[in-house]
Amino acid sequence: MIRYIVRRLLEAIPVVILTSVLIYGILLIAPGGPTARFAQNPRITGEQIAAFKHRWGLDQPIPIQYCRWAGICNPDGEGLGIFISNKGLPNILPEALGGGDNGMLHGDFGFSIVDGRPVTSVISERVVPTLILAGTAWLLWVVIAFLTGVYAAVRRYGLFDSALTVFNYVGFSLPTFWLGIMLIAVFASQLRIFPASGMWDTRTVPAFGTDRYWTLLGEDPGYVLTDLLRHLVLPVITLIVVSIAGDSRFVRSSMLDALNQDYVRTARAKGVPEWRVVTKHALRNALLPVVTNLGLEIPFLFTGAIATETIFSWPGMGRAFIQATNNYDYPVLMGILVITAIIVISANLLADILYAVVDPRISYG
Amino acid sequence: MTSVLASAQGGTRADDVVLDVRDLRTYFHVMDGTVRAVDGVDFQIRRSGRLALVGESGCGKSVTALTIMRLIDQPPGEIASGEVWFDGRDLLTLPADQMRAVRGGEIAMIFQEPMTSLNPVLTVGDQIGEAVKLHQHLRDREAFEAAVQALRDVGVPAPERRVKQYPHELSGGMRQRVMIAMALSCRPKLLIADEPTTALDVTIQRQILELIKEIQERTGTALLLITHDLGVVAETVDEVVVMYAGRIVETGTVEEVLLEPRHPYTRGLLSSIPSRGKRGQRLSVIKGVVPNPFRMPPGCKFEPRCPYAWETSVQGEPTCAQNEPELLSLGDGRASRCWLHDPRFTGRLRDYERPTAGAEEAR
Repeated sequence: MIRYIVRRLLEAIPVVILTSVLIYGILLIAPGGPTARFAQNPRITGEQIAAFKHRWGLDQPIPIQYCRWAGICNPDGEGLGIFISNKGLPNILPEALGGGDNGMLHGDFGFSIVDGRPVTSVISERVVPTLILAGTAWLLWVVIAFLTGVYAAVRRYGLFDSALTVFNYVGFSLPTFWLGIMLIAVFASQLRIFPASGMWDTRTVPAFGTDRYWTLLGEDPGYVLTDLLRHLVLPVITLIVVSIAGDSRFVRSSMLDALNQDYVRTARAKGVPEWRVVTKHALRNALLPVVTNLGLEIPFLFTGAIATETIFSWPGMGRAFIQATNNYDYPVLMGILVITAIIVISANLLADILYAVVDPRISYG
Repeated sequence: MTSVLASAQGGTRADDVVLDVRDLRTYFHVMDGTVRAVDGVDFQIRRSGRLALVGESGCGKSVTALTIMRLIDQPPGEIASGEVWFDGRDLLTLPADQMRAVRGGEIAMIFQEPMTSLNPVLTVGDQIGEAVKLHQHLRDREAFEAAVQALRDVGVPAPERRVKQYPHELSGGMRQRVMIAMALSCRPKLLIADEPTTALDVTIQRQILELIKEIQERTGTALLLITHDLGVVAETVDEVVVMYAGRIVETGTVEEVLLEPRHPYTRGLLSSIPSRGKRGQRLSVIKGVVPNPFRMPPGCKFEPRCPYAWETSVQGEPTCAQNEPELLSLGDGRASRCWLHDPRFTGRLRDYERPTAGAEEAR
């Protein structure tokens, strides 16, 4: 088992490398580029643009640009010396072992072109809000899809099953951005039950992540958490309706499939009570495809978050991504893409491992 | 119907009978109409007796077994009428919780496909132990011991190791042994085996049959064997019930039915068995197919395929195509659902029973 996990982890490394190359390549091909924002500005001369390119290393050959970004090359080096760190050892090594201190491999994602802050700090202050939103959404999504799907399968063609079918078809066809706007229109503008945007009430709560926020959370956790929950409701609903619609259908059919298997009949013929037939014999088998699917759908939380966070002004990575795109802030853009890719790959890995845990037929060889 | 019941009850004392099925009818209501999968079936099994239900696929033999166990999904299924007397209780009117105690505890069942009949994500020991825990109220540890013992009883080598394995780690024959171990772990009074050897290799088939017979003799459990394989029937049971299109067409002891079949359908089944003596000849087959369940023939259900069916010439006489025969008692517990055995047609019966003529016609 341990060996299996280690092997899967090692296999994930080339995937991450390839993804980073892809991200770099696609952004290179895409129209625009870091200097595009100067194009319409008459006061910026050609020399100034050239100087900008030189300062950011954009005048270097593309492979070297990539290697610097990744941390394989030393930006201070010349010729073959680019592979050697300032300490005289291969630049690719960890810093403590005499390697360089630049590039993603050394935890350096560069600096934002817009405000000059390190990309890591731009991202890190955005990660927690996204994880709060995506985590809550994912948890609710899994639980609701699961319970409704199983119940609908057990009471097939019943009233609940029929109602769920209608909800699923409608829910699955709703565009996320439209649903978000409609929820704001009804529950925020008209009924005024939930806030329309943001993550905290700006009049009574200090900005999330600041020291004053944590102090207030310590003093009055009830108020701060209630405030956070109220802000979570609409974006979470927006994020999960489509996913629940798809997944409860998936759980239902997987469960129906399991309930029709011969071993379920065997269990009934043994005199096993019906609820145990469902929970012990059918459910564990129905879980197998579902586990994989839930892992594979985690990326959706991040893509979905881009629209949702923008609509609800949620200060997360999705919104940072849109802002970076609008500002031609390439270092931040690439940093977010790489971090998201790593999260997605880890989620797939987790799904694989979980699958091996729940299905004894998977060999760890 | 009534005649065979009367004769059977006359022949055996009621408390000698472990299972008494009376006028059982199971219908399935589906989109295109109603399928009468089992349509008026009566039979009895004596204590420690061995009876086979024989017939082609779709004749209702498996549905009969599932109805006895009340494992028919309702809807679309419906147990339209009948009684299933088991140990002085009618299983069809038993409350659900008492029926659950009967299932697995007093009547156990083995299925056709050992590959899919075991739960792939639970160990063999879990699955055997579950039955024991339910019916004998044992603790986990004792259930584990019981599972090991049950595997040992069915000749599984190294049961202490096997008990911790998953079904996919076992061969087909081994899995069927596990199914048998599971079925017998609670010492049932009746074992229903639904095509227990169909999915297995021929050599393994033999071993499994011997095992079922050996255990049946050792424990004295009654056996209801469901099969389409007359070879299996000959080796395993004492009594035979032949079914066609949801009805019983012939009953008798195994020797009687296999050596002197009375119903044309049984005769056709027997003549279609390949044997060494018939090498080089074309296999004889029963022409035609099982009738469409939505368009059953109005008369004898076998009439469209029957080489002996006749058109009537006499006014008022029943015809094979229009009138369905009763299951006619032939004495000694034998019965046949064929107009040939009606006293009005003794002349035709004489022709039918002349061996050469019958065989020629059948071909």
